[in-house]
Amino acid sequence: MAKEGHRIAIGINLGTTYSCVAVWREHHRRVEIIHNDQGNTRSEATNDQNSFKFADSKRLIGRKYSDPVVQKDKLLWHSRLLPMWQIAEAFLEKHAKNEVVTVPAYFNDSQYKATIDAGKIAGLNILRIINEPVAAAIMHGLDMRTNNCVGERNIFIFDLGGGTFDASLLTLKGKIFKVKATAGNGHLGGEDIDNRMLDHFVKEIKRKKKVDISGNLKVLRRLKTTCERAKRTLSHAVTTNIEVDALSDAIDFCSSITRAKFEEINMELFKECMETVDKCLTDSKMNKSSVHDVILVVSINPDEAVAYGAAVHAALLSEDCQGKKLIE
Amino acid sequence: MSGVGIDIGNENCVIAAVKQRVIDVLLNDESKRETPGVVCFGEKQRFIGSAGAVSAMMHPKSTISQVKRLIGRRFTDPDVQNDLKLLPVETSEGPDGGILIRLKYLKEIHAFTPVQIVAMLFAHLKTIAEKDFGTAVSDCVIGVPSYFTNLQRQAYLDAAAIVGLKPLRLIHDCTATGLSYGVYKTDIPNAAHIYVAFVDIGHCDTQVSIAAFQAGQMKILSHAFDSSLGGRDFDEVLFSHFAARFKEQYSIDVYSNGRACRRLRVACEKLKKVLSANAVADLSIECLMDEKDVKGFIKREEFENLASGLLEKFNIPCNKALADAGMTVEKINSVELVGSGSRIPAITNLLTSLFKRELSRTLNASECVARGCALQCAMLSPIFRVKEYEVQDSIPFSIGLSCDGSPICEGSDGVLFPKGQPIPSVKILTFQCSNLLHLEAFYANPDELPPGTSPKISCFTIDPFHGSHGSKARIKVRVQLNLHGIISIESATLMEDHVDDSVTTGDYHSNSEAMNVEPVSETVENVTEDSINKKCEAPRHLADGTKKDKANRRLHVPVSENIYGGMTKAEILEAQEKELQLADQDRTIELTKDRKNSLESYIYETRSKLFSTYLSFSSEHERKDISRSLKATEDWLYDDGDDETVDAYSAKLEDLKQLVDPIEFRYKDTEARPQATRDLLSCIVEYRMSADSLPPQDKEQIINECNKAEQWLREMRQQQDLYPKNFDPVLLSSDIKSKTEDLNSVCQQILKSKGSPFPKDKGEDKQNTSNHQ
Repeated sequence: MAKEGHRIAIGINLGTTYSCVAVWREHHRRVEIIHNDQGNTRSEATNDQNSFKFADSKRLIGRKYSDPVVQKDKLLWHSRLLPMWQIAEAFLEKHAKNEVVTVPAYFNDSQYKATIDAGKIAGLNILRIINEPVAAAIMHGLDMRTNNCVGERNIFIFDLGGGTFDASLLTLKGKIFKVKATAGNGHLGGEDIDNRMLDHFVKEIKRKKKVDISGNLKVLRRLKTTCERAKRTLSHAVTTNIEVDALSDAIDFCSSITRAKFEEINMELFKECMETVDKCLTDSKMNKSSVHDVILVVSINPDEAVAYGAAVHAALLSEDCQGKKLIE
Repeated sequence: MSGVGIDIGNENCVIAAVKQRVIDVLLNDESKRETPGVVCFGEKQRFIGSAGAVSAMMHPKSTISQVKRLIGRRFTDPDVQNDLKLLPVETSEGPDGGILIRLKYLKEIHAFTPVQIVAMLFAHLKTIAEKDFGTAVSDCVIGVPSYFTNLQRQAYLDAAAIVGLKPLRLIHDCTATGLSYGVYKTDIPNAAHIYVAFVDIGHCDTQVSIAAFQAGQMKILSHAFDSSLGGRDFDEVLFSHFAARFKEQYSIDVYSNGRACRRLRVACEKLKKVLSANAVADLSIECLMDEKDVKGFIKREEFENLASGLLEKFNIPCNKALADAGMTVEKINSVELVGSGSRIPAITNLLTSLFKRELSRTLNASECVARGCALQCAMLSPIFRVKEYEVQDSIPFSIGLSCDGSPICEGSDGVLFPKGQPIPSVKILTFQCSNLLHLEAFYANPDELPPGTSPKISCFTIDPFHGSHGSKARIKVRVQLNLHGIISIESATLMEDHVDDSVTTGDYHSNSEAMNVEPVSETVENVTEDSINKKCEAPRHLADGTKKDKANRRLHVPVSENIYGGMTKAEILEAQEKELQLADQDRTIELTKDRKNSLESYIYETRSKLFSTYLSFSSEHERKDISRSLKATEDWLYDDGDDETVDAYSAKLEDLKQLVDPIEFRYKDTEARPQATRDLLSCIVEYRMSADSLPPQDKEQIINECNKAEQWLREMRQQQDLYPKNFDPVLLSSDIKSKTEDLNSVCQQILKSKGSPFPKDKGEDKQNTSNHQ
């Protein structure tokens, strides 16, 4: 049983496909991502049948609080918050009561309220709900504090998640973050990139192996998993391999793709991203040359970054942040 | 320069560093905190870490994983043979009885030792650190299992040397964990002890250590281990279970198919993880063998029954650690459970029952060793100032020393460094002999060792009579158990007492007495000092009080050392050379891939621009020519050009650029021309205004210059306007800039010569503005 003791600040990020818990660790003066019981840093939401509903809900913007979808989702959020909180408690061996929860930038007040209610049902005291862009900026801001940043800084957040794309422009003055503008595309994300790659290789398999797999759901799923992996690899390598076992009738498929080809395949999607970026800058009435920092919250470790910032925020709101020095 | 902490696990590696005054784990290329301990030899380059794990499926016979278990082992060891069955690579026995890994690389058969493979992992982690810091990294502290033998520790040091790392210390895994636990403990009252048991269940082993913590210090009381009990053993239980079930249910023999074995093992590992959080788990693999999809499920309790034999084995090292520490479970204040294999609920239940308390999981199970190593590195490094904290560690084996075959008597059981000896330690031995001195270090109690370990450690040869012979000599030997936990001879010195001196002094009787003088005793700080006299001759006579300065002179005697099964200096140099070659090949291939990607990228980008940005700057004929060349090059890329050289790709890119550059130039110059024109016109206007205050002759001169420039610009613009955009421009932006500079030069000359009211700075500002634009 968890011991009563010091108040501990944790950050929880509920993602479309992954959820993530981070804890402020006073000794390290850092945030630490917590492993769940399975040793993963991210709990795979897709393992939970109910999570598909939740995943869908994040894409629905502007629902009223009384809307049946919001009410139903409230219970789902509760079911997601509770395990996250239990993971944090087991890790800390302390009772975590104070949390900061992140939500998408485009959540409206009704959706905020539903998230607070979900927290109360789970027995949590939600200190604040902050936008994901602010959480990401706080993660960045923690480093800036040690650099003794002075004056006002304009920070652009480019957040490409699995299923949604968000662009935000914030100003940081001292410790105060202010959101100047937000733009988003609720139907654009990393998964769209995966699908483009999938189409590309379906065509290549047809051309090279004379096999049409477009109707074979099993093979398509495995190929898509491989494409997602390749996408990540291409962020640091200019070429990567694609291999799928047992394509059809004992035929194996092995190929490669270059970063250039990957970018060519997805050029239209990248242009759509830039349209959102332009809209955000226009709404903020700011020229891009005025932006001091750009923070990328992209599909690699996206949820850790956001949960990280949320935990820092929770620590700052609590009274436990002492900043003891160990190494000079 | 900065130091890092390195934890090479059997499955994954972690690297941590001091950053902004805190310890942090570094991320690899995939932004992961753990890096697979995999080295894969592709067709033309190595893939290490995450890239190795990805490539492993394509090159199973050239992929090495779980190499940590092979370090310092003998090929014929039954445990080693069992381990090698899990690896698809081909292996053989090396000349020294060690393991050689044979694989095909660059169309040749190569043989590597496990040390060389570990060196590759070290190099990869070093690269990760250097990318993060932006500078070279060499100082490090490396975690090792407490059961690592002298040979295995030396192997780690050799592997580090091969890639240019300088370990400040090899530290025991549980000691590193204890350090990252204790240094942050601020609630230990002064003069009080708290006792903590650290249980580290890794991928392939289990280590248990008992530590005593006080304010400002920690002391290891015992190390115990099972070197063949870890998370992978539970995977194997599931693997065997389902292999048998699928044979019965689907008539397939998984053991006969290497790929099927690998896929089933991966699925079973995932299954184990799911069972940690769920009572039942499904297993489903498509097309496992013979085009058959297989399905299975298992309940957690069934899994625990299958693993009951394994679970019981955890009692042994835990009880041994308690006994060696002289403690009972009641005296333990806390039990910290860590390690990647520690998340099975049944293990938690068993340990809870054994220690009679709830276990703690306040440490990051996968990162605590690397963090502790990084902290120790900061402590040992002169770069950082770290809070005072004392770490007292010890060895888990008894080490003896023999001289010419007979043990040197120290304790009642002939042990020089008993089990539990503090690290580091020094013992000073004095020998009297008239021949070469042969010393051998050995493990005094084979029962303490991991199975299959040879008790022989190393031998040392001390030659005090180099250049002289036929006389007695007394030698003082400093034997040290060093900071790495390795036994070595720090120094050997000869006490000078040759008979020949009598010729010089002329007083034989006096010299004879001097031979019996005791050496001056030494005080060695922070080490345990002990002195043993080993006699090969008659007993010494007591000194008669006479002292001679000459008798206290010491000569350093050369010591040669040989670690049985270890690498020689020549072998290390050879391995360094080999590693440099391999790394160079990797860089060459990466450069080639980069060039190929640049070429492909250029093709796509140019094709797109040709019908957008460049459309009006190119003729239809040019566009057709370029499109044809782009298509031809693209076809070549996906055919003959799929696997070519850097030069080939560079040449192709150059060929395309020759066609495209004229168009790009037209576009860029057309874009730059308006600004250059505005600059010239601004300059003209300013000089006309400034001329108003000048004498008539100077004014006329400046006006003339401005008029000429304006005329030139007007005429050239008219000419340029006659040409379509897809022609090479006749009015270049660079020409306009030159004209602006000329005008500036002439007018400034005139203004300066007449003591112009406009300062020179303005002219400079103008030129700076022009330059910037």
